[in-house]
Amino acid sequence: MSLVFVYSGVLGGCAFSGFLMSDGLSSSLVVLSWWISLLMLVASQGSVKVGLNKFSLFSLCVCVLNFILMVSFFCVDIVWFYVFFEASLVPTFILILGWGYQPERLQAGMYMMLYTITASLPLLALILYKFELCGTSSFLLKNFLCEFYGNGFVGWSGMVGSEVVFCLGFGAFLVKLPMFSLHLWLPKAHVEAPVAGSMILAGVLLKLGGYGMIRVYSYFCLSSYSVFSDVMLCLGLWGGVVTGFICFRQVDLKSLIAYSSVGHMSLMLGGCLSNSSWGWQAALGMMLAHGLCSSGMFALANYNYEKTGTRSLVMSKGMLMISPYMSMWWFVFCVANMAGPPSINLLSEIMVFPSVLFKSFWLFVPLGLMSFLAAVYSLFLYTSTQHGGFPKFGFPYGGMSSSSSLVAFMHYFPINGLILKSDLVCFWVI
Amino acid sequence: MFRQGLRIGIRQFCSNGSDKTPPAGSFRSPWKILKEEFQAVKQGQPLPTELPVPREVDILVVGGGLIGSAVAYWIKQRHPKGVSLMVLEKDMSYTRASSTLSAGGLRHQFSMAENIQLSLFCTDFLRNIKEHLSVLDQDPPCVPFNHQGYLFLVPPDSVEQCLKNHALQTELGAKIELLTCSRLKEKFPWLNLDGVELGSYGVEGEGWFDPYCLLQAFKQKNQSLGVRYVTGELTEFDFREERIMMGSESNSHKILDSAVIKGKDGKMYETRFAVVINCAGAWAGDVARKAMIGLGPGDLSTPLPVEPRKRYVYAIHCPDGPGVASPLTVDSSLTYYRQDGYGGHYICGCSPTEENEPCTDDLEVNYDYFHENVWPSLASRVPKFECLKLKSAWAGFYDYNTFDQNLIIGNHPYHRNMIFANGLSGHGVQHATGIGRAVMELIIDNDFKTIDLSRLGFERLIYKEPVLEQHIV
Repeated sequence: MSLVFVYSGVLGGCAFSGFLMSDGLSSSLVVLSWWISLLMLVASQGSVKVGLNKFSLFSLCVCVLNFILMVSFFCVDIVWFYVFFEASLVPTFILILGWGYQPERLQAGMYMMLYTITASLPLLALILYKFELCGTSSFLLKNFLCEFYGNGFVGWSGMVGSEVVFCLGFGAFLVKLPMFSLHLWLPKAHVEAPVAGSMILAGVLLKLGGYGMIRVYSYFCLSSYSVFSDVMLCLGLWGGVVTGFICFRQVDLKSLIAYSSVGHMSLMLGGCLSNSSWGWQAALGMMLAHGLCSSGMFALANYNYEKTGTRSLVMSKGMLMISPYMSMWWFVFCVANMAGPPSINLLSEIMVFPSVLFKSFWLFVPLGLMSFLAAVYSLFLYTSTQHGGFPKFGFPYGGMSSSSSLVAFMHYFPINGLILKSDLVCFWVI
Repeated sequence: MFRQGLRIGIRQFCSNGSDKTPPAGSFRSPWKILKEEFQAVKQGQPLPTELPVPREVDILVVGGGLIGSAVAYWIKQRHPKGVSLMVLEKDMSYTRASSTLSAGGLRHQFSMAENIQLSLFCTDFLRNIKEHLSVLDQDPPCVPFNHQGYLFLVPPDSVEQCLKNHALQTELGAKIELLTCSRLKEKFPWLNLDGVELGSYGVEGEGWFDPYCLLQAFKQKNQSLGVRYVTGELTEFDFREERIMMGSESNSHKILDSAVIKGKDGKMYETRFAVVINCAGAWAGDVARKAMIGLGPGDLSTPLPVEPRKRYVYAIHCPDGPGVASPLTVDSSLTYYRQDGYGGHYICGCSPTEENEPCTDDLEVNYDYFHENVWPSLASRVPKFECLKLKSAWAGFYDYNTFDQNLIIGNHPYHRNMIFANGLSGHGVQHATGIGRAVMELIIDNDFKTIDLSRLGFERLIYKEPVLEQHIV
């Protein structure tokens, strides 16, 4: 069903009713969220379904989360968007607590909830204020949002404290993205979340942040009148470089993939804040590409965990000898992670570069470093899990269930397949 | 009534079924978790930062004695943050553990290269213990070592074996001197040399130490490295199934998945692990049986042949005794004595024959054994010991390997994630450090790198190929 969206009506925008709408950005992300939700259920078969682990409650959580995400991507009204944005935290929290690895003493859950909620409360205030000013809370009615010259309201630039507005407005989404200095919750949440939680978190929830940023950008007519957008851009990009370095020091497989998420999302942030249409297109491309790639890598990491019982990079090595078939998927996803052709990761990186460089030429330094580091840690991930001697405590037999290969393939196919339909990424513009 | 039914329905829907804390990845009701978290607010007391028993660890070490602590040390020092390790010990005061009840001797005089190398490594480790086990801002480890050496009295029929052993020991770097009767008379005039042809005397690196000090040093270092010492008893293992497809048939393979542990508070916890290391000493056989080793078909049909054997150590006082220059002397009848402090106190003992093995239900000492077996042979070897006073005694268990009295190390062929370090039959204390390093190399480097112990794997029990040590005390 979601594929129908992909092939029809993506280029234009169409509003179905007063409450829902869909345009290129929304529909692509909705397709992504459905895709990943289905793959979540398949990937969790080993741990949740087989072990009699309350599968019904689990799938209920997944369905509720999927529904909330779909509506949040589709809704027109920014207040409703905010409501569903916050609401998506609840099923995620339940998933992490109920099926997580060691959620007791709650570091992961608390960090995630507190960070997101604290940062987004000012956003609510701002939305309501603007709603009062403009009389409408719909994204689509752009004409009404920014004009008002007659009433003495010239967008936000004339107001004192527009930087504050900028910060508050974006705070929630920067936490969700996550931007470098607000990213602490992500590795903690990923390490303790079950595979399904990680997949949906990396795959779709981070994109909620990106999606929100793009919408709020237009809603508040913020078009880089403020110096803060430059600050945030640079902070995000350099943060991406720093997280690239942090990746080498990780000993937990999932933590490494989580930090690489931060790096990719900082690229997306760059694309978003660059105030160019290429940048926004790159942001969408990055969201789709990273969602599939990261989610796929978490599914593979879970396969590793189910085989060896450990997520530690020190102990789980030599997988090439234990399950060579999975090594192929590991390699493919590592290549996609570092934006190897012909994946949509590469497409989005290529589009991010000129849009960010347009802002300032010297930003080629963090961009270049980030690309280089992405390659280094992706290869580091591959060699440390696959190469190395045959572990004495590994179980080389046991075959491979078709579910894991299905999951891997379904994640991988759009990454390299969607390059053939690049207009999905390149031609949606508000 | 409808409300009650609804409440019961919800509770069943959301609960876990048993009272056990489930392992990582299994469902635990979020409601319960949140309730626990906010109990601190209700009670007004802060919650401990960690669970009493973690729900998942990378490596579970069963047994917190010297071998368990050594294994934990070597693995953790390799990569403190990279591996999460838990040591499960059922009695943290070590009242029945072989480590603390041992006489603590360290000798290099073995007949197998592996044993010699392990002992040599232990000497080296103890010499440099402050380098290995120091913890910042805490007292440096102190394991006083008495360098008095071992003296084996060799009867004429064992001379050939002794010479062979000596050649091997010297080749591997041990400093052992072979003394003729006249030299023995010169050096150790208190000995009665009837029936003795040769004396094998260790001149460097042999002696004895207090194993409890070493254990405490390991524990202190381990805790600084982040090892979790958990007081609890392993009740059973849980398995997960994997299907192996071989051609057209498929077998199901049970893999050790998690351990059910009875905690100090009496509650049951389940911990998921990747590797379990059996360092349970005298009770290693029980742990193996919990993993179905010895109770299953095929590769699981060979049990782990380790059982506790009681040995007595008697403390005697003899003011006219051999004195400070006396090494730990071992007679050909396997009676031994060594001095214990400077006041004319000695400890002595003798391994019983197979028929006289004492019962292992408890650690009660049989004093008749001293009067009937130990004192006569002691007095005949050292006449000065004819008048002595028996001060006290204690008993401890050997983790006796009934197959060939040697170490069993390595992973089990069926349960590949269970690693053994058992069956040392009386030389556990002196080989613990080396064994810890060997297990670390097995796990992290996939093979023995420094001392090759591959001859001592579990497979020899299945193929019935004993590897015998000729020099057992």
